[in-house]
Amino acid sequence: MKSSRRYKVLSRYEAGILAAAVPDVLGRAGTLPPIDEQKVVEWVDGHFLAESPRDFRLLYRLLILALQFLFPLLFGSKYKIFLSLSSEEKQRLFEKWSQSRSYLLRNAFALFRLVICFAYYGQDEVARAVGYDAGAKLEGALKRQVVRD
Amino acid sequence: MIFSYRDIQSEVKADCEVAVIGSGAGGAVIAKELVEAGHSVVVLEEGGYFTRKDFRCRPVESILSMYRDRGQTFTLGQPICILPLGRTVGGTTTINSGTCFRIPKKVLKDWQDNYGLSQLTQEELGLIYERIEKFLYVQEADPQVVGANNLKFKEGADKLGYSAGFLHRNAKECEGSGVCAFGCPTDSKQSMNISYIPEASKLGAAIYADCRAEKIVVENGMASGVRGHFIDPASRQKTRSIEVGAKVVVLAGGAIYSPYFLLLNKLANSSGQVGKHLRIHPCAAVAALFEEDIRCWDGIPQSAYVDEFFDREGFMLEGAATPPDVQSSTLPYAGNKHAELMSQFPKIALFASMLSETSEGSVKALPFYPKPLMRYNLNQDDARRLQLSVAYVAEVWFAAGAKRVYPMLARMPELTSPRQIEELKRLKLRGNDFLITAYHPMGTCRMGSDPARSVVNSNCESWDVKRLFVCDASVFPTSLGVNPQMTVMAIATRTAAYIDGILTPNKPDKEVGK
Repeated sequence: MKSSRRYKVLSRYEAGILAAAVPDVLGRAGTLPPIDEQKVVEWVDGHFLAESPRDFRLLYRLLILALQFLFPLLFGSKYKIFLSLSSEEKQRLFEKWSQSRSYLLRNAFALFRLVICFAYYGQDEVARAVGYDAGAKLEGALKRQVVRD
Repeated sequence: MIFSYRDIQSEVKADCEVAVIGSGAGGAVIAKELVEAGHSVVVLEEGGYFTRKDFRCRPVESILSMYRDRGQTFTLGQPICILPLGRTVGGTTTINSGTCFRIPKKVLKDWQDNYGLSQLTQEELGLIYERIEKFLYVQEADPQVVGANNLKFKEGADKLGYSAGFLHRNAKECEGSGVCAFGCPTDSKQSMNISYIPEASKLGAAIYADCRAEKIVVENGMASGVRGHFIDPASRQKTRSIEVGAKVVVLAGGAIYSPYFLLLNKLANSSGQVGKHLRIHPCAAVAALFEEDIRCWDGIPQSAYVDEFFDREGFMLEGAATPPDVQSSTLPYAGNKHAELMSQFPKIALFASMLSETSEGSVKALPFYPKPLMRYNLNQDDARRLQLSVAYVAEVWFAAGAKRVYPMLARMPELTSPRQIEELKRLKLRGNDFLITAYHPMGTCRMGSDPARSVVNSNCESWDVKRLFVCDASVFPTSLGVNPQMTVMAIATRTAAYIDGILTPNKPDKEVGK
């Protein structure tokens, strides 16, 4: 997972953890396009975190580190760091985290997933694959506007 | 004229009669009404100026550019509530659903009877609402363009015999682009950025976007101006300064930032009420999976309602659909189960309940924290009513033919049969169990007739600082129970008439609704 890329907010280590989390947070289903985790991480770093308030950036980075060291302990059967988990183990961790009895942890998961969902489902080709075509919608809106103007 | 950051080459010093902080439903109306009455007006708006050319039907793009804190504004407490706020010319009206309600009669009566607001009469407000509705083309949503999401829900409500209908909206020739909350790409929605603000600008008001007000100048107990800085939209750093001298200052930053501003400025708080009584209209969304395509992003996202429970239980049910990038983050589960749901996204519908709550929170300004701190806990009675509302939304979805319903509750993520609704009602849920989003902060600079219990009087003027007005939903003494933009505009129209009277005392009386 090591990358030579430079990030605006995340360290390479944090970016590596996030990249390892992305496929199992989002999951796989037949009609969805393949996940380019590097693209997701770059968007989260450069488009979202870089321009987010400082407290939010800090919180998100702490969540990534907690995912690596703390959450496998809270939601796993035996302790391993996140990067050493198999895909099935990661999915189980996210499932348990999302349904945690602690509302703080559930909210933390919602926040962690939200930014990843923005990054993935905000890509035009992914949105199109689930039926939403922003380009066509905009074109339609512009045509209606021209007629009206 | 509307000035953006790139138009400003040097420090700005200006004198005017009225300085307005904020350009949302309160500030925009004040600006237009007063400039129309012949006064010089300057508006300072912290957000950028965006037009339909910037609205590209890509929700996340809009969230990043027009939402405060990139959509991550939230209240702390039990539960944590996401509270999206607009930071753009037009304020939250630019990114709201365009739903228009007048103040419910029982709420106005409560304000009159319990907060001494007998001057706010149904008759006067009725005239004002009529005028605003005409200006903003308020009309019932056309069933041809409401979309299957809303039609399905109404069909379910009709089957159950619940009182339901199509919402009134400030939209002209709307064709249901489906992205109201992310900037209308056809200028159908008559938000402040394309209605009151351009009109104010045309009549001579100076509107400064990317301009953060920081200090209200007070001399001899009277507001006399505003100071602030322009903000570079790329770096969010302060740049050139602005100083506006004024005879009247109107603070219209919304129910989070108006009290925060007053607390930072140590102004208008002899009652100790600034920042207290925060209400937010907590909303709980319920998704449903159908056999057939719903395509919830087509049509007006919020265009149908059920008001069956409003008088008895204090909640409304209203449409709430969004495109996949935003909605994906609200659906339950993680990993493959979540992906499986998302792969069926065209078949997913979404509706929400909105609670007129009794719970109260607060807005605070902390010394070393650069933002307002919002606290809010949902009380047990509100949690019970919210639970009931979720059960009713689920019931309507099943009546409309849903295969599965997702009430967004950790303890019950999915219902596969209407029989489970009774089980849902029996759960002993607390505030923490809900995933709450809230859209209507109110009440933090409440108006009233008693200076010891309120921040402003019935004309929205501060009890403590003469000629300082607060004019946004923060002046509501209680929850409104319905979408508030029309009532904010109505109160702003009334306040503008009062300010006009102060500035031109010899002017012949004019009926405020005319």
